[in-house]
Amino acid sequence: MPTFLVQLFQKRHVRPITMYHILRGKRTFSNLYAAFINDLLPYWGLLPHLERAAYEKEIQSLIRRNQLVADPDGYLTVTDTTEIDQSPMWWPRHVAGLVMPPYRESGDLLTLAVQLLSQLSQHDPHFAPVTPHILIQQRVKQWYRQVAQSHLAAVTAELADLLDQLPPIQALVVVNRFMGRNLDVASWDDLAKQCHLDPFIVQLMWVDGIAQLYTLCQQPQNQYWRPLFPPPTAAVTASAQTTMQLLPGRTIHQVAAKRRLAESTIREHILEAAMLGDQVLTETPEWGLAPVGCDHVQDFFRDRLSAIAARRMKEDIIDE
Amino acid sequence: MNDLRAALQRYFGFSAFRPGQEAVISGLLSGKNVLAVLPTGQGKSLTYQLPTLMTGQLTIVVSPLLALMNDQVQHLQEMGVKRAVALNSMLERQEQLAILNHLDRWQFIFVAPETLSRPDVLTAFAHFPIGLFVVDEAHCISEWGPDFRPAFLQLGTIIQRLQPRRILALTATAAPRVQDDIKQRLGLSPATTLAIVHSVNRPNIWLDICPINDEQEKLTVLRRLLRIIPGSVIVYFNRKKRAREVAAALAADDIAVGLYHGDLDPLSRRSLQNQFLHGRIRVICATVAFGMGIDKNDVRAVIHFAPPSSLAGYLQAIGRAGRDNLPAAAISLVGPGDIPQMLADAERGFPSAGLIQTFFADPSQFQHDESAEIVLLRRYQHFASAATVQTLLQNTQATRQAAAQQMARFFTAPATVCRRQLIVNAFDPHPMTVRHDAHCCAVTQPPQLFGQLSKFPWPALSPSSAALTPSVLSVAVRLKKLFPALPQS
Repeated sequence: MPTFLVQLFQKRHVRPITMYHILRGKRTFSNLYAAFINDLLPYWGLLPHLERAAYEKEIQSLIRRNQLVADPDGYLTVTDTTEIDQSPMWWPRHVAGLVMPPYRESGDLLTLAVQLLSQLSQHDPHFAPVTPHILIQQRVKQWYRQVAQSHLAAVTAELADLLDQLPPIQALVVVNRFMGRNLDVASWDDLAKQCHLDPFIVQLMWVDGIAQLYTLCQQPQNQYWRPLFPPPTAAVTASAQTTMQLLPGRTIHQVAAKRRLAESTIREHILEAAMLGDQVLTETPEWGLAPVGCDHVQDFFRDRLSAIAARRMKEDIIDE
Repeated sequence: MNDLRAALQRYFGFSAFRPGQEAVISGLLSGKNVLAVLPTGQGKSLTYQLPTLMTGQLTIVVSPLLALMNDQVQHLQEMGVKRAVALNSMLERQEQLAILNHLDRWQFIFVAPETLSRPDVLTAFAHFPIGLFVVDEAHCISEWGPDFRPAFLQLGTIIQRLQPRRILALTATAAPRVQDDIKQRLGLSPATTLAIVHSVNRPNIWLDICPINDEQEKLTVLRRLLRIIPGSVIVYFNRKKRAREVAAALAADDIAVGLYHGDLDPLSRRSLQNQFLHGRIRVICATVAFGMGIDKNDVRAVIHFAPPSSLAGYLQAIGRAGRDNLPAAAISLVGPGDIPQMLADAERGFPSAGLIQTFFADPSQFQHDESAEIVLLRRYQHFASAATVQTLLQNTQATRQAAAQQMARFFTAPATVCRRQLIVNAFDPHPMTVRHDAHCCAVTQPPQLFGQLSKFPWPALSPSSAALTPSVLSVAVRLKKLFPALPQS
């Protein structure tokens, strides 16, 4: 974990507690904004079970070793003397945080589906599902009955094809965490030894592999495995979407009154849509904001909106 | 009785009961409550599984450990009993509701005492007839036992509210005082309760204490022991770090070794248990997290690399050896620093009176504090006032220290003292006089120990039920093993 944390803090301006909440996926506006502005959104909810005590221990250890340094405002930066691998051997590139179902859920769905197919295809009806989560069990059963049962050969062939599209080392990690009839999972330690990587990186590799398989399953040609997973989630919350639907032709004050919410909440909804929605948003006179310099709260909102727009336009230029 | 045996054969495929099982089941089926103290390895779970399968009524099993609950659910599911579920904090709220709203779908519900104390859970159960209410590891209810869990204190009230038809309290190790405490706290009156108490003595397990000069020598002795002892071995540690180091050293010797501790994810834990069960791993280096719910008959030795914290813990651990009733060994390697460390560990982790008061005045200020003291106070938070908790914790601390001192005496008593007699005296209500001989127990220096074990009547190795499979397989090979019908790409 230490190397991964140093890489995450590199060239970013984040407080350690905010980074912790981002990695756990604790959704508050300030955590979202910090993740957006620091290009950390892909890592949102990457480590949902990260224990705070363990995280803080790692951070303190990195500070003691002078690899991270805290500035007077409590932000952590990577020290100039820290040797950082500029292009680490492996880095999660397929995780997409907010728009994917939780990785644990997708991983459990996939692992249980493979176990079910493996056991039933070898005529073994008595087995204990790998996950105790009964909603996952129900979803897999339903998928089996509706999709897999009558197309077993095609379903397994599609899985092999999906795995074939993963980088070999990642396919190795993912497939060795499947279990089936008379076949147990390989331990993280054994996989780490085999891949010559740290066990923590191997676990990240598994998460990233699940994310990649999830993305591949959304493609239309993968008809058998797609229904197993929930559809992609909307990054913008339903409440913020409602606000954005009401906003055209209304002031922020009017929308707040109509929705019986505070104006500050409506402003946060606009900023959320600006960060996570499809469009780059800029201020319009319709919103009825006070002139610049008259209300510091509204000026702060304006500054953040401009910062978000500038960042998104920069991303668009890079993407092009 | 014939009906019982027929049911045993039908549901479990066994032709005979283990000692104590039949008496417990008959008692329950005749409408009595039962307190059953059966030694580790005697198949306690079967005593509630069989009556439940026979009557078809709902059984609630209160269990102190999440991992144990999940193991038991998995075990039932592998037997083909699908209507078993663990209701605990691992499940999402929505999943818990799905269980509570359809109690008629389940035959076995395993539940943590903390979950069962929740008003919504109690209300759901209160409207449903409960055939059998099982308190597993019932010694946790007694503050006179070293494993006391405050949430167990609520069980008496819960039983009164739920009015189950019968109650079964199960434990492997309960001194007479703890047995009395269990009966009193669960409201088990003498008129309606049958107490079935079997001796904790396991005559097929040879007990040995081996004094060691230092940690380096311990590892050397362990390596030698593993060359002499045939078959499966569990090595217990009191520190995860040391277990990891020793497992790495043994792996370097080409020993098929696994490392087991409480922080493993559920899949890895299950995998290790299976590999050990099927003989793909010969030696498990583990903390106390390993063992409950593991039913492997042919473990030939349990070795303590560090002393356990109580005699009850020692008994639980060594009880995992020789469940096939064939000769097995329990060996404790005791270094000069081990006993002082164990006694110091028993003192640690208890909050001061001041901290208890501050915590109860405003628990929210400790919401990010994960120190042992605060974790402990959180467990007590919902069950009692600050003053009561202070008294309970003082009692618990005194009990733990007394248990550690009893363990220390067991290890440090003169070599002429029979260790088996010490165990029997501590736990059996009517202790028998042990016939002490060479097959009973010993305190030995390493060379003597090697000599004894070389002459030990080890049973023939049972053939491994599964071929040795490398842990990490290529994608193609693994897919083929998962789906043999998959065409080669």
